[in-house]
Amino acid sequence: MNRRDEDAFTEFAAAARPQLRGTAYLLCGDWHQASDHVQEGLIRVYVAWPRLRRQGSELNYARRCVVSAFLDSRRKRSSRELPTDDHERRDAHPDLADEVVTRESLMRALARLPERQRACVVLRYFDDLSVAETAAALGCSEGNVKSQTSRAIDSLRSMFAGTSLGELLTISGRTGSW
Amino acid sequence: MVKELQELLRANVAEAPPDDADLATVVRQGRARVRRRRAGVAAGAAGLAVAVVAVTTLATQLPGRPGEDVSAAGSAPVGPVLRLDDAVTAEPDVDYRLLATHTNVDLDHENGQYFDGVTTDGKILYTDGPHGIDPARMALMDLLTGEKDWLPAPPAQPSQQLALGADRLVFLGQPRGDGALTALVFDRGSREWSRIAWAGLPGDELRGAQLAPDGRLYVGVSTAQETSPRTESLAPAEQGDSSDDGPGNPDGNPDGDVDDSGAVGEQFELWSASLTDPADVVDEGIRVGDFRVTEDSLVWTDVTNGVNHAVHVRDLGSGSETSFDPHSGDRCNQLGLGVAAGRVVLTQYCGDTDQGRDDRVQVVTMYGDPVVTVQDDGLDGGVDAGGLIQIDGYGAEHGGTYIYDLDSERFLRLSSASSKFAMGGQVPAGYLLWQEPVNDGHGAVQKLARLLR
Repeated sequence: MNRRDEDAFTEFAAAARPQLRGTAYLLCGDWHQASDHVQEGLIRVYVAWPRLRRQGSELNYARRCVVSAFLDSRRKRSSRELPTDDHERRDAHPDLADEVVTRESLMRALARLPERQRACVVLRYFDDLSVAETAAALGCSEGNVKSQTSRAIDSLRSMFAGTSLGELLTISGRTGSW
Repeated sequence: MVKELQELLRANVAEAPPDDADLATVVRQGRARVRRRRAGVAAGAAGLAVAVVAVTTLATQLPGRPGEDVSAAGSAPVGPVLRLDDAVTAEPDVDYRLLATHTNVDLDHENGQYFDGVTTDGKILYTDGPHGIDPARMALMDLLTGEKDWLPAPPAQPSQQLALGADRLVFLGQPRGDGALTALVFDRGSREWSRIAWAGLPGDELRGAQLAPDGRLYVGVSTAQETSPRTESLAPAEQGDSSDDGPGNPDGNPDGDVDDSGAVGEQFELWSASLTDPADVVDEGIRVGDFRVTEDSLVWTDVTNGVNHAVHVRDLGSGSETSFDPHSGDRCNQLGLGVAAGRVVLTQYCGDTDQGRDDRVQVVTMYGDPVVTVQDDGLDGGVDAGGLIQIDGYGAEHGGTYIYDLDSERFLRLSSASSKFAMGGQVPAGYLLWQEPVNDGHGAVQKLARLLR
């Protein structure tokens, strides 16, 4: 990459980083890890930059790289972890439904979703991507995005049944396009 | 009060802690990865070896012989040295015959169509896109008529080319959901795609995938301690300096390059896998840096992306093994490896000097005797199946494409400008595929030719 391209990349990376950091944080729930995912994602963007600029979709590509870095890290980690049952974990927190709807409770709920479902929720509702754009970012079909998002919202609903957040999710579910 | 989910998600990141990340580190690690990838792509074109005569002319003999301790001499090349200035401008119809060209006028504006390589039976692999979220389409293009035979859509997006054969096209695929390495095979007879996944091989953190003449796929697999991009090799001094590099000056030195030469390097475990049996995955039992498999030998370096002091050659017939020190120097990061025409071709980055970068393509015999080193500011190189070393000069002074023919000892300059776009792919022995900038660098013209010998 020549110096001019590298300057352009640096300018792009500096501008895109806050948004990418937010996406990564919602995916992993930890600001430090989020920084790691963004760093790895931006390195991947750097490698692709000469070809990428032709497509005029730098931010979409960068978002995809960050999500991919997050999913890769989870895959590596999960191979060393014992599998757990989602329902068991929900039952272990019987007070969850009574918690005040705060940022923390939403983050905990997101953390209980499988990674790809969580990614669908974050990309659709935080990054405001369409179903097609989300499918492109995750490298899967639009149908897969719809079903994953639907399952994610169903799970969140069950976790927050009886709370204002549960109401919110019901409304979102009705009006959402998945 | 009911908040919108969108608002709630955004509220969660509204009070983010200060971002202390260092974009200079991103740029530095990006550069290191590009160098590795360039070297890997260049080496990917290597294949069958052919006989050659020794190189004796053109070059300037410099001090230093194989077997001598060159550590005291720093990183000066051992043996004959060529600079890009030494190349002679190639003449059409004298040095090469132009077969086809393809121009994309404005690649800055939108993606285009490309010559992505040439099959062993002389068809151009022609790729259209990707455009936005639409995947790329591939065709085989007849050289004489220009007619394109569009292939059915593959089951997944192909990535690295492994083989462009007369009977099949083979690509690496994207890793499967469980992370398994995948390959995509297009049978040109039945016109059908198939996909194979090896559960025993991870699909990421690989090095130098190669489809060997024996039909097996060889890959270097990261060992556990080297899988994180944060552990990429960096000189200790550079790691310490990183906090001083602000985003406004990501390079840390006046000429815009980071001198991360003299790095520790990485090793990978060599595995092989069958293209027809997903259960046939073999740990070859050696740790490698870069590697190449030819008809009769397995050649590998001790490390890649760092200082390398050994090249190993295993005779696949007898199993006997020899090793030698290529005397690349103690500042040269080993980046790529090619084997052709009975020669070992090593690409290296050897740090910065007052004159700019010290990049090299070093050629030695299979016993370590020096043949020639092409050394200059800003170059990359790889060798094809027939012993043609194609060198991309991307420095300001000597930008363009060059070839060094191991057979005839010719050192030719094909073009006088370097395109910023990376294109092309595998070509059979004797073919040349390069690109030149057009439209003030916004686009590029690709040229396909045959070397006249």
